[in-house]
Amino acid sequence: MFAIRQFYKRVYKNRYGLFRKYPWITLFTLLIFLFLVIIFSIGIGSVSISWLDSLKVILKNVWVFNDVVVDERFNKIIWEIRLPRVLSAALIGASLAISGAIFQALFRNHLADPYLIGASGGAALAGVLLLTSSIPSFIFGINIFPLVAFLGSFLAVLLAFFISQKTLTGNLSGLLLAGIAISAFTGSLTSLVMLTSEPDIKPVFSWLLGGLSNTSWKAFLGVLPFFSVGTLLIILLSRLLNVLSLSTNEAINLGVDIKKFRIIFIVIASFLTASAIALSGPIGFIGLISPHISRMILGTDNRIVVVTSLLIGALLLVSADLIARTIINPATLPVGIIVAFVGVPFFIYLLIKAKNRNYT
Amino acid sequence: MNAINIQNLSFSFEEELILNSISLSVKKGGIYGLLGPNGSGKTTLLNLISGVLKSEIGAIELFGGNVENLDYREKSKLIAVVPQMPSILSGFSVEDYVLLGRNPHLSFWESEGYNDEKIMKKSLKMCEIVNLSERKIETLSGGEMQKVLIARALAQDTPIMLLDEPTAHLDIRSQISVLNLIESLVKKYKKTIFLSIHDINLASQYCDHLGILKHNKIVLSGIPEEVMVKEKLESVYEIPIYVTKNPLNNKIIVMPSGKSLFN
Repeated sequence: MFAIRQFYKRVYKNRYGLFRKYPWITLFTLLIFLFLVIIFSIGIGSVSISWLDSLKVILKNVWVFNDVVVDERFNKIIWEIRLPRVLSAALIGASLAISGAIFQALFRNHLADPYLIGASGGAALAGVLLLTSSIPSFIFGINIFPLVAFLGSFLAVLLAFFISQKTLTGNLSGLLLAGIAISAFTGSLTSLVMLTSEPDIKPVFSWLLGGLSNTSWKAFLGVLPFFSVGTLLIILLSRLLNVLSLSTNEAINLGVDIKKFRIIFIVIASFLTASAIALSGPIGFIGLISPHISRMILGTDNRIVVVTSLLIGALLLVSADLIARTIINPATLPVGIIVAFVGVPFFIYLLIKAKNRNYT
Repeated sequence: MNAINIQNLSFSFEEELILNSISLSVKKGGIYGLLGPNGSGKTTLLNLISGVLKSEIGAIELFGGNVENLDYREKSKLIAVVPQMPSILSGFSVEDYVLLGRNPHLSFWESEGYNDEKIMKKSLKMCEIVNLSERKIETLSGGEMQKVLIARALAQDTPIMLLDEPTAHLDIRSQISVLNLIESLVKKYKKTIFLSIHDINLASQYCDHLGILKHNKIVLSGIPEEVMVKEKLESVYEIPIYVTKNPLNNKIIVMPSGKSLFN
C-alpha cells in the first residue's frame, strides 16, 4: 500500500512528473491498454477463446493473411458478434467522453455532461419517436438514426440556448439550468410517447436502458463517419476550448467570437452524443467521469483533456460491457446499469471532493 | 496622432444612462488614468473601448481609424485588456496561461508554435516573472497574478493596453511594482496605456493625463498639475481635501480630511 502511494505521489502529484510533462507517453500507454483490453475482452464470454486465437481471427479478416488457420466457430463468434460489440462500446464511450469534456469546458462547470445539458434527453426522445413510428432506420442504405438522434439533441440544446438568452442572467448558469429543465421535459415526453405507442415496446425500452446487445457491423460503420468527423473537428478546435473557459469578456478581448464558437462546439458535442446514443441508447456518467479522470492524470489543458477523455471513455465502456455480459453468465445486463453502479458512487465522491478540487 | 480618440460617446443599459457624451483622447505613448467613484461607469467605458460593449451614439477611433466594423479578432490585435477580475484556470501553468494571449494571432485550428513561445518568454521577461513560469495559476499571490495578466496582454502584442484597476486589492509594495512595470512598458516598448484607478496620488505620479468620471460625465480632465488642485477636487469629491507636496519627488499629493476637521 505504501509503495503504491509513493508511486502515486511520484508520478501524479509531482509537477515535473514523467506523466505530466510528457502526456504522449500516457496517451500511448492508454492506447496500448485500450487495445489489450479490447483483445482480452473479445475472448471472454460463454465460449472462452484465447487472446492468441482472437488476434488470429482479426488478422484473418482484416489483413492479407487469409491463409491463417482459425476455427470457423471462433471466427463466427468473434468477427460477427463480439468484435462489433466491443468496438461499438469503445466508440460510444469515446463519443460520450469527448462531448462531456466539451460541455464541461464550455459551461465552465465540471459537473456538466450530455445528460445534464439535455443533449441525451433530446436524442433519446427523437430516437424513441423514430422507433415507435413506421419509418425505417435505413433509407437508401443510409443510417438515418444518428441524424434523427442528432436533430433531437441539437434542438434540445438549442432550445436551452435560446431560453438562456432570454433569462436575466443570460449567461452560462442560465444555460445550464435551462438544459436541466429541457432534460426533464424530454424525459417525461419520452415516457408519454412510449405509453401511448404500440403494446410491444420492449425493444424500445431496452434501447432506452442503454445496451449493446443490438450492435452489428452495419450499425457500427453507419455511425463511424459521424464520430470520426466530430472527433477530428474537436481535436483541431480544442485550443479554443481553453480560451472559452475564460470569462466571456476575456474571451472576447482575446479575439474569440464567443457566440459563434459556442454554437459550433454545441453542435459538435450534440453530434457526438447523438452518434453514441444512436448505437446504444442513452448511457449516463461516462461523459461526466472520463474528463475528470483525465484531468486528474494529465492536468486541465483541454487539448489534452479531449484526447485523454476519448481513450478513457472507450476504456471504461469496454470494461463495463465486459462486466455486463459476464457477471451473470449467460445472461447479459444492459451496460447502462453497470455504468450507473460504478458512476453514481463516483459522482457522489466528486460532489464531496468538489470543496477541495485541486485537479480541476 | 492620438492612439485613442473618443467623441460624444454615450451608453445606456436598460434605459439607464451610464455614460453621457464622453469625449477624451489618449496620445500615442501616453498613460491615461481614469478616476471616479465606484459605479461611475469606468468599467463600462473600458468595455466600450475594448469592444465588449457597443454603443449607438458617439464614435471611438483608434489611431485615426474607425473601429466600429472590426471583428473581435482584428480588434484584439489592437487592444489588449487586463481585466479586474480574471478567471483562474486552475491547473494551468503561468506559461500556458500567458500563451492564451497569442490567440488573436492564431487561426482557430492552429496551435502555438515556436514563435509564440518566444513571444511568451519575452513577455514573462518584460514583466520580470520568469521565475514564476512553472507555477500553477491558482497558487499565485494578487501581485504576481496581476503581472501574469499583464504578461498575457503583452503576448497579444498590441499597441494599446487597457487595465481595469490594476492596483486594486494589492499591498503598497505590489502597487508600486505593478505601476513601475506599466511605466516601463510605455518607456521601453512605446505602448499606449489606458487605466482605471482609485488612488489619485498614484495616478498623478504615473499618468500623464487624468480624467475624473462622475455622474456619467468626465467632470475634470487634464495633466496631473491641472487636476490636482484643492478647489477642483473638493467640488468633485464633495469632501474637504488637503493638498501638499511629496518631499521625496516634489509631486503633488492630496489627502481627504474628515468632516470634523473641516468644521
